[in-house]
Amino acid sequence: MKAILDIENVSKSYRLGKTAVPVLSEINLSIKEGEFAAIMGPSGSGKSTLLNIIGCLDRPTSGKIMISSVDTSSLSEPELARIRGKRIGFVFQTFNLIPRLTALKNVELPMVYQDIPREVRIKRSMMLLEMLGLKDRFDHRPSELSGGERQRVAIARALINDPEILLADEPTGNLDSKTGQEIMQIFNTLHNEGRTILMVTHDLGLAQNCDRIIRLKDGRIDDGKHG
Amino acid sequence: MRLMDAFEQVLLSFSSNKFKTLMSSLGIIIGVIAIVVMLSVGEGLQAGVGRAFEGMDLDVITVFPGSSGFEAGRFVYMKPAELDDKDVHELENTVGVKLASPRVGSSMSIKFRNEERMTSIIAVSAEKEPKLSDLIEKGRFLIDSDRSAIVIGSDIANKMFKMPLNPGMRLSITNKNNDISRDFTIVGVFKEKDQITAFGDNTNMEIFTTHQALKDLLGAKNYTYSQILITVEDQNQIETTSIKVEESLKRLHKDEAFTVFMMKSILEQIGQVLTMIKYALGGIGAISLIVGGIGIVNVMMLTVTERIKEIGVMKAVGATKEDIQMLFMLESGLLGFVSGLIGIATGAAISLMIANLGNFPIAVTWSSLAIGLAFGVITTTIAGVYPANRAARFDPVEALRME
Repeated sequence: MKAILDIENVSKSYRLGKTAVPVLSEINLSIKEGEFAAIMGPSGSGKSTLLNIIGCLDRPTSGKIMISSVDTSSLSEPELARIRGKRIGFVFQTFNLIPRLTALKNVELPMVYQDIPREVRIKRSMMLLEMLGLKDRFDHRPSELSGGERQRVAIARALINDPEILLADEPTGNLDSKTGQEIMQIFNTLHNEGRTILMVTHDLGLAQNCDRIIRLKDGRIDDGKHG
Repeated sequence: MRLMDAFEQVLLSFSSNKFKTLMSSLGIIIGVIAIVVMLSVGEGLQAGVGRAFEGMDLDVITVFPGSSGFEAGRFVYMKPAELDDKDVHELENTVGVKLASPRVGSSMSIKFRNEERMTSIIAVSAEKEPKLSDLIEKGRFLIDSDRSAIVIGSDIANKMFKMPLNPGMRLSITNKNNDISRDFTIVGVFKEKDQITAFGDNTNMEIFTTHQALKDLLGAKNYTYSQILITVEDQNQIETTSIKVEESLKRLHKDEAFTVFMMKSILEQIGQVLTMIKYALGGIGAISLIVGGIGIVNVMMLTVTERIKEIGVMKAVGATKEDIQMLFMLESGLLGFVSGLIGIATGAAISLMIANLGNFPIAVTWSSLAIGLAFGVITTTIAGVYPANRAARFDPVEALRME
């Protein structure tokens, strides 16, 4: 299987006054097409920062991020926006749906920014909502949906542009364990369909479900060699 | 992002917070109303004054002796020119002059039955006053050979004495300065002239006679004209003709003062002042609109702050800076457009209401409506620039972290 994501020597530090606080140091990582990988690590280990950099929401201080052989660290702002919209699907812990928009409109949103015609958008959104068991909830606003339903809408939104990689930041963190299991079931199904998924989680049980566990500690990949 | 999709999102944002939308648009609506009403009042004032001056003689240059006495801010005394037939002759031979009609005004006492009144009497050259001649309603106009005939205005005929005066009636006119008294016959009555004017004739209140008749009453050997009315051949050339007139008179009255006066230039000046008043009134309206615009900035900033997290989400799912900017600009611009439409409709209604209730000259014109709407849209669009730029600049990671 070819690598869909290659991270080479990525470091990230934030400026805090005059001192630079390192968050990620020399991360090297490769995710193959179809892989389901979990990123684990204690709070403050840089998990979310790594996910944000992969998702083109943030830029590394140094190093290269290759998504399907395109180096995103050298792209302009509009090009990054296009990659976020087309090639990456984001699922957040807090769902992050737009409260004013119905489930259908929320799912459509990434296609709106890609100038895709309305009929195409509605057709594909309805198909995804149906696949996720929300066919009859399409005209509900987020406030009228349960937590699990909201996360399923968010997953549909992440899948709408058929992204190359799905990034999930603690997708079950705000859900009860039963609903969390249901959401994990969806991720498993997507994985079985061949999707590449990178998930940040605290839950070892969920992580053990994955093909691979990447452990982060103090901004470095903890492969046992550093103690 | 397509414009249609942006529109849809903006409309959703309006309807999701109707109260806030209404409150922020209210400032713009009131500002636009103020502009439209003020401009309508100004426009009405202009039209009203214009009507008052309608029917005034724009093809007439008036010459009279003396001047204001100020030259370059310094008081200069010059003997007033004595205007006589030489001047009339000279003026009639000046290029561009059609007619030069001399007049003399004087104050006299008139007595009808046992009632006595003071009024002004104007002596004219009858043949040179076709406009006065056209005004006759009853009887006839003067002829130059008349020596004891008068023509009177409608107010003199109907309001001055207990009994209305009619052609054929006789009255006596006395010059109080020298006690010369003559009997006159009314030969004609002017029709009532519907005219509010501070300049020119108010024929309703005047008595006209011939120069010969007034000469008899004045008893003086030195009979000079108090004004000469010059009718020009071409109204469009009146400025040039007035310069020629001045040159002609200068030749005859080297060191004497006279004034050449055109109603047209006065009207133009009045017109300019009224235009200034109109825009000054509009400016007052614009100030309230600016206040409304500041209100919009506030509301938009609040909206941006409220939606920081949403902006992060939008960016995470592929929105560019330009998309976010467009959304917020469209939101404030559309708010301005709709508020502007409501404002001009309400403003027009209020203007018409004032016009009906207050009997005030108000004219609602398309241009005032267009100005009102344009100002509304421009103000809100400008008001939207800063909040929209702020929204577009948010770092997506930080925006997403907001709760």
